[in-house]
Amino acid sequence: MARYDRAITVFSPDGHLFQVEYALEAVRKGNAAVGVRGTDIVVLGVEKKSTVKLQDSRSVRKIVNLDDHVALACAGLKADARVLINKARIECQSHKLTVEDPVTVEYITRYIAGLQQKYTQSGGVRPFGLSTLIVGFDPYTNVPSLYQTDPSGTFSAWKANATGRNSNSMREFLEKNYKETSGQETIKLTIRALLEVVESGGKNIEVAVMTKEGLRQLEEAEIDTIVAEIEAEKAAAEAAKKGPAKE
Amino acid sequence: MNEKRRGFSTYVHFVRDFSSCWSGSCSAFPPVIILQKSSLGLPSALFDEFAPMFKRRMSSPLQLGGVVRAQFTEYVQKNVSLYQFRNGIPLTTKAAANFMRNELATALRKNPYQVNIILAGYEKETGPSLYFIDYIATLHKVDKAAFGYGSYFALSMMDRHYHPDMTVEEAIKLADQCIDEIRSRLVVAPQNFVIKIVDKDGAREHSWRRTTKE
Repeated sequence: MARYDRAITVFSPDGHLFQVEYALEAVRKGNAAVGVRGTDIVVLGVEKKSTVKLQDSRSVRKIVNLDDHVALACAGLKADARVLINKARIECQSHKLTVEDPVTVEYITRYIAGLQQKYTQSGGVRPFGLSTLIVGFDPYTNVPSLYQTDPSGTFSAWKANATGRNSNSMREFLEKNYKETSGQETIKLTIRALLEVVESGGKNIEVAVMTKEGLRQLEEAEIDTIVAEIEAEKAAAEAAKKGPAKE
Repeated sequence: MNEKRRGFSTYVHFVRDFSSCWSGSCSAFPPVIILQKSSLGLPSALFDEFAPMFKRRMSSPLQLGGVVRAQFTEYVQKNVSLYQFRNGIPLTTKAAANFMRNELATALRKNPYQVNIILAGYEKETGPSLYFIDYIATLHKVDKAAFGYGSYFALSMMDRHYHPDMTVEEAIKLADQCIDEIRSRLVVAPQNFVIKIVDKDGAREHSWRRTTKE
């Protein structure tokens, strides 16, 4: 391995940038995050590390607005995220200032990915240990979109995707269960995907819903009722499976 | 009754094509009028978009220098909304006024903006407020304000008739008196005026005083 991970701008002989791969590792260790696109809605869900007894759970927000119509959730180093979010918010306003229109979701994703890429190719810096899910509605359209970026600076569009801890099992779940849904059904699918890897309960989940009207963070109680609903459905399905077999 | 008397600002907006010849020297302020109090005010100005963008609570009328004014108001708007995204709460009227003053003051010795500002806003905690900032960056919290050539007529009119507990109707009547005065005495009086109100429900257009057809 001989020191090819010292400076990020140096390739290893077999073509790897080790620092970037370490950053991807930080993402894999980070909290789980899920995004699901519906027809009229797009939902973000993240795993919330249970807060310490005396901590104010509201002080930790993992899904944030970049602009009125764009929101971002990320997996990885939370401290890096603050820097990235700040830069993205400035770009949103700056874009409006120069061209009058708000940013499109693709534009701000490209901007964030571009920023992440820069930090893999300049001296004296380290990459962002972040993978982001970006959701929103493009201005003047009713089409929701979902994008993902990663530390190397690549980005891609999705119908539903997951990142962070155990993202593979969530992605598999989504691949199996994804349907074009809308409204409450989309929210439910998001939470079901999260529940694959997260202990159930509104305490451990943060969900935000983006509609044409803007972002809304779900209350803990609201999530609890949906979780209860999902569990009841699961139990019913289980019973239905077992029931006929017994007879 | 008290409800009715408190908590609004009124505006008169001087409306003109902002890309025309007024930009440039600071002596060329278009006539414009304003007045207000812990209740009512009717400032001047242009920027219709400015009101809603200020997150419904505020409206800022500015004057002078078409392009420059547009740039400055837009710049401020974007910074105010950036503040809200960063901190989760909107800037107060007072904070916005101080931010603008600071921007003007910083620019003053480099590339001055040549913009006068009357900023009206409403917060639940503080009620309505009106701020006057001139192009050399002096900031005042005022009850009534005006700038431009027309301000000489408007200010004296307001000095005479303004009182602190006016109703909205009285405020609008006073605005009309100011407009009439400007129309009858000012050679370069503008053709159209718009009156706006800022209160607990946000900034909105009230009515127009036109001499031209749509």
